[in-house]
Amino acid sequence: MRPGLRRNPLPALAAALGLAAFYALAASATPGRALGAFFLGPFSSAYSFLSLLDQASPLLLCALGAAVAFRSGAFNLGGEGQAALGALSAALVLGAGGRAGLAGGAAPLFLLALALLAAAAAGALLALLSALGERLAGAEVLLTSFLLSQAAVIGVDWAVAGPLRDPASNLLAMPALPRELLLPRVAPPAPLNAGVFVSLALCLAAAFLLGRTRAGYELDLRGESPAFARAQRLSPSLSVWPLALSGGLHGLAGALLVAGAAGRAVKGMTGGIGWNGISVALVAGANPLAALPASVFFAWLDAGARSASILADLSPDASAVMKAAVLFLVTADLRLLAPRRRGNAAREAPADAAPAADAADPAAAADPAAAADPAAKGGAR
Amino acid sequence: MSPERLGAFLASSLEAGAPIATAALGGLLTEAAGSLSVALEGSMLAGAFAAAVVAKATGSATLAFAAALLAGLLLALLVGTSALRLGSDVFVAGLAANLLAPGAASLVSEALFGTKGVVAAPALGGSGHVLGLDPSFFVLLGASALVVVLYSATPLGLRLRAAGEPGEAARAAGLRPERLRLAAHLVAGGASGLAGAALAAQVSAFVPGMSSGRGWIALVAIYLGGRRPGGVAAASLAFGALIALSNAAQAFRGAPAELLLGLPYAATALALVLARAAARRRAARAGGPA
Repeated sequence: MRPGLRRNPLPALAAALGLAAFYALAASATPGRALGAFFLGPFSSAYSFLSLLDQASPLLLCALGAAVAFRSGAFNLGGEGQAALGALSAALVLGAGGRAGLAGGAAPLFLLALALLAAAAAGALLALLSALGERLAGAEVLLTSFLLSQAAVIGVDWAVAGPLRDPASNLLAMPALPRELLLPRVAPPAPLNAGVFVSLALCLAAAFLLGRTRAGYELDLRGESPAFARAQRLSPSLSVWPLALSGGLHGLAGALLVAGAAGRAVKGMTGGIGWNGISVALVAGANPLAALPASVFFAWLDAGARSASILADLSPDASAVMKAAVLFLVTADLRLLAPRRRGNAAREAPADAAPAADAADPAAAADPAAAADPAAKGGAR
Repeated sequence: MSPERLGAFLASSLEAGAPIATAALGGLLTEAAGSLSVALEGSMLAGAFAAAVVAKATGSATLAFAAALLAGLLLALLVGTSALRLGSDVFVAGLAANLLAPGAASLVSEALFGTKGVVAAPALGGSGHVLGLDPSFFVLLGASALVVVLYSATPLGLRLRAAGEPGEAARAAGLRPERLRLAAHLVAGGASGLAGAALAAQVSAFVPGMSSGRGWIALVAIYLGGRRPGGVAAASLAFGALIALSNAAQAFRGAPAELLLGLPYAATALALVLARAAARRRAARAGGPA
């Protein structure tokens, strides 16, 4: 992972909350009420808090997927399509099981496992295409993953709202799945379901993989320096399996959406979860364990905006702007602001403006202060 | 194919390709300056929205295009400030811009019109066709020409390219790479804003998500065009033809219209892989590093 991507995320998070407060004060006719609804609404009852966690659970999976790709040195921008394909696959498996009358005994558990597997496989397959495109032809993953994902989203939307649509429903959606085939709820009627245990288990597993295994160590080596990894003859599959794993995690997230509160595949149901996963992974510095609180934070922004739109007069879309603000600042080095004079002086003096180690990294090249300061790289780890 | 249908197909290819070309040529400047902007997509959407809102409010297409230019510039300024002043990763800042544009558009739309859906702006289009093409095409043609001249025939263009060279040569020559990169980002943002306005003008409305990945296709066009203005424009027009083709195919009875919309993206990915593979083979034959 490029060193410039790891920075202290707290200023970015504080800025998002500041923006939220400013928006509530500026745009609402009842600012006090809006503020309360935004910040405290999601925690006002067990039900709303469990809904927030229900939103965070698939987001955490996407963040883990994005983090694995980051650590291996790749940008997987196809999370959206991988999640959509996963959602469709899960809906197809569960739907077929439901029609076959497999709703009793141990069958639901088996079917659910099968649906999660199918979803992970579908997401992994889509990401694998990009990985192979890079490995065999040198086509940039960050472009092909986005393009294939865009095609997949369009294809899934077409299928869900077209040939697979439930004709009896007004929704652009596939038929509702039988209740017995959905992930069981942890504390009915709150929407949080057993999928959260899948997310938590995979969060621990990813932390173990990246932090405690040889494969994770090699993956980090490649992420820090692909050339070094090549010189060390590290397994060439390092450019392939981390991306497939990333796609699989996104696919699983799609399955959680279908087999969770929605209970069916709905057109456009991924709703930006792939992009949010990238933001969460960046906030977490691609650390799986840090992705847990980071995904809850992002879910809080969404839940807060929703709550402020119901209990007060704000727009539920406001959270999109706050999330963008986080992304604008999350890799910023705010120390560049403080010693502004010295920074400029250093820039003028060629001796001080140490050439950035990696000329292909424009951010690092634009940032002589950080390049000259070894603590900036080491400290962010 | 009858001559009229061929003409119509060519016209729709040019109309679909021009916004991609304009954005891609702007993006080429950032690539050349060593700080590729991935915010083309967001700038396009911001431009489309600003154009529709201003056209609706003032009834003037000229003001609408000016507003689109401004919106693209503003977003680029945000990306440039974040990346070059605050040391953010320029790629991440670009992603942020791509998230900000649709979010802000829907917020503003809801505040102004009480809806976050389509913003109809009859004044933006509907002034008839010139040579069978939407007038917005010629705006983009002019903008693209300006960007190409700026890039290849002015001292600023030369300095931009110097700023993108590895090492300290540009700095040693007394240039300020950060400023040059910011300038490149601004040009890219403005060009993409205008491209977005043309998208809106073609349908006389802003539709949420209407840039739908064209800014990303423009990035691919930069690479496929070999980082040369002529190549970039040609690659963009090829993608335009692809989009026109998938639009035309929807007219056939029984064709899954919505599914065909995905075709240009899959084909673009395929084109990138094939072009990279061919380049690799050429390099291998030439005895260079694969």
